[in-house]
Amino acid sequence: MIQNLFDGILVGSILSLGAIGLTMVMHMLRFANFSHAELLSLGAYVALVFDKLLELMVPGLSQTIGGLSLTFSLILAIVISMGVTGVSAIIIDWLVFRRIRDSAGPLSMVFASFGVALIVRNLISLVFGLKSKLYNEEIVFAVRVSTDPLLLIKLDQVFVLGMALVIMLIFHFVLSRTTFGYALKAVSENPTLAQVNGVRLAHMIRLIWLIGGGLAAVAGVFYGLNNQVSFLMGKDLVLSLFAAVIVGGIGSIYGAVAGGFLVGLASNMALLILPSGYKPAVPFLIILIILSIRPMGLFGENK
Amino acid sequence: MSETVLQVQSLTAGYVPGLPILHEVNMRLDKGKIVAVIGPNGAGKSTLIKAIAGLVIVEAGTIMLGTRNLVGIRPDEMAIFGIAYVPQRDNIFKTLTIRQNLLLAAKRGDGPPDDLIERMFTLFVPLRDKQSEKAGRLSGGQRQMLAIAMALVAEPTLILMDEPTAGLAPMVAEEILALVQDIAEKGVSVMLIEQNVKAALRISDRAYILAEGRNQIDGSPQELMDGQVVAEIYLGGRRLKTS
Repeated sequence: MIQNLFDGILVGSILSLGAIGLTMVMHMLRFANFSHAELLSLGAYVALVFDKLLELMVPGLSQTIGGLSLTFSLILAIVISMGVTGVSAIIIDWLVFRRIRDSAGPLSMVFASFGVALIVRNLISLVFGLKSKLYNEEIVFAVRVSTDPLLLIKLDQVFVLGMALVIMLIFHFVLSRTTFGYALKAVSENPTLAQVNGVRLAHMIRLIWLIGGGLAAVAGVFYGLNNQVSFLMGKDLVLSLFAAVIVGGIGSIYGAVAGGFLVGLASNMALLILPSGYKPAVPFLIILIILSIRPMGLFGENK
Repeated sequence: MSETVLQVQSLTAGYVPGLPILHEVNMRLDKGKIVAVIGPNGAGKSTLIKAIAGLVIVEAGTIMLGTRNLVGIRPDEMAIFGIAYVPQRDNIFKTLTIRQNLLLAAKRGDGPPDDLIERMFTLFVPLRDKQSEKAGRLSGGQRQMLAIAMALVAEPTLILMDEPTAGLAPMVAEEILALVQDIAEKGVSVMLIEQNVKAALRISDRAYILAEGRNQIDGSPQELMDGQVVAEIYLGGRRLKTS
């Protein structure tokens, strides 16, 4: 049970990172962006590319850090991937979503997001192939933390969990202590009022894509570290991300974090009583339960 | 002669291109004066104020602030020209604290935000005590007070107010209207949309009556109160007692 609990928290932290961007876009641009999960895949692959490039350019960076399978080059690659994925999200918005929201309704945006998801997923498989990849081919053994109950943890997992929490704390600090954070919340709550208070909407939309894309990239790399880097990552994660956002309340960043952990925990704890084949159904079950109790989600505003 | 701050000329505007709500509307506002815009529901009062704030599509006409035409200026740039807008509803950020609301609005101003906010707390004392509370927890009157403080904090020269007394208890509404008069006395020009015609005419220096998106009558409150149209439409056929 404790193993499922740890795994649930770990997956939850990754989902939370991915769900933050999704909830911001869904609330501000008023559409369900089914292509957001593909940004996780994109981020994971961009990091893979830069990891290898950096290793080739500066061989010293290929050294692993402590007992982790993580290398210095991958750490740098994650930072680069955050930027590249964030900018890619802005470009996708500029190429596709901005044009549609100027001339059509939210439903058209949703359908367009399906299209974007398919294009990104297939482009990734075209460039990188269908076979899954690993950041580090060396086998890293888990450490036996406890025998009864059994708890096996890889150091990479501790790193992923720790970094995810640190990133969320930094984001919390930005939201709660800076004028930029207030502006972000203001735009999410009431875009028109934010505008008349001097917030430039187009600028904030670009920043939201940048932040959402950046966090998705980190989530993608962490998911890849914990599992494998696959072009199907986005497809596998999209429903869990939506569950996290809906359960937390659309538009609530803290709700997305709580929703991510709840979905991650419930999906892993459910394995104690359900066969693993039923795991994908658990996020839907959580959505049904939470929405029947609180239709606006855990942290959502009552309209 | 008073200095004209805002002059709207032949303004045609609306929410959908080709379907204007306002048709060739004209109005003028002088420095430190209050202009009331009154009219029945659907007359286009809110559309007029939103057009000036840059929030709706202007199809024809000009909105001159001094020598500058505001048509085409983005809503977020209005503060640069000293214009503040207080929407009728949803005019505060409920998820932010009172101080955070003011801090966001103060970023439009010239001075240090803390100093600008301190000035607002001197003017609106009840807000100081609750500055760390979420704005969504304020009463209707206090929310309106915060909305006006958010407009004032950046020291504008022109404030556009869309029904600031809507939904407030009569006593609270009176306080808000007294506040509007204080603001004008300090040299800030105020364009006020108000459903309460008597109150609007009482505090304004000039009033415009709109109906079906067009100018109907305008003049000083006394002229309008003495006129037949206002008396019949808005005051139930009775002339207003002015003394």
